[in-house]
Amino acid sequence: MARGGYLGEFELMVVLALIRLGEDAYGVPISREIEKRSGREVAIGSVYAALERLEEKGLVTSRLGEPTAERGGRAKRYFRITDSGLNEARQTQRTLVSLWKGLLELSGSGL
Amino acid sequence: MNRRQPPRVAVWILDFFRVSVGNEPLVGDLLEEFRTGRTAGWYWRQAFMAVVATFGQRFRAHRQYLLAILVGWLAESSVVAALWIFQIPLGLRGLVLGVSGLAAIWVVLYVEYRVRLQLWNNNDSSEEESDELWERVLSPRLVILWCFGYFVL
Repeated sequence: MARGGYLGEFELMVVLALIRLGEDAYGVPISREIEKRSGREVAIGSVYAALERLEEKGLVTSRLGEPTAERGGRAKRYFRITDSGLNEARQTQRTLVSLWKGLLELSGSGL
Repeated sequence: MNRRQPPRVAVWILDFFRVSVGNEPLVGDLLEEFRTGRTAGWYWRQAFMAVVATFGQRFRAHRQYLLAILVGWLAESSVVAALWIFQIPLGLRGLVLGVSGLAAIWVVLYVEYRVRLQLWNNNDSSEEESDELWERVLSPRLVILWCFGYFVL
């Protein structure tokens, strides 16, 4: 069993969006990706809060880019998943799949 | 280039709660996304959530200060309870409440100052800028809170 806490639902979404986007992922594309997949509006502030927690746990790293005029002279903060982050996502996936298996109520046949 | 401006009051709120200081890229993201055609309502919702999220981040990062605020609040409440239980004369009651209330305000402001100082230092800024932050941001707020405290008491 992996040590440390599980990824929360939203943290997992952010991690998966980060993996999908690869390099050069920052707040806007990450929240768009989650919005596109979930169909719900995402607060960019919540995305940053989740990323901050993930960074504290060592699951993502970040670096500041150059300030640009279209952003009012503010820099982008680029995020990247770490090896530990990938392992944690795999572990969460295994746990969820294992819990999911055999649940007839959720497969459609039980309804 | 799209130069559409977001709602001024929402921008002011982000600035007032210093989201721009600790989370500059977030404010940049909001502006970038707004200029792709998002509505003013969207910006308002995002600004509100940004303030909430930033406060959450700060409190999580500075739990000891949160504890200090809690202790200050409990101490203030104990003073109020003692005044009520022991039937202290009205004039003296006002004086004690005034002093303890101002002490509580000072504690909160000092805590805020320390939190911001730490955030500022994390951003590799100089000590002069930290002092400037105290002068520029916290002093006017102190005056406002002081007046508010006297008005309430």
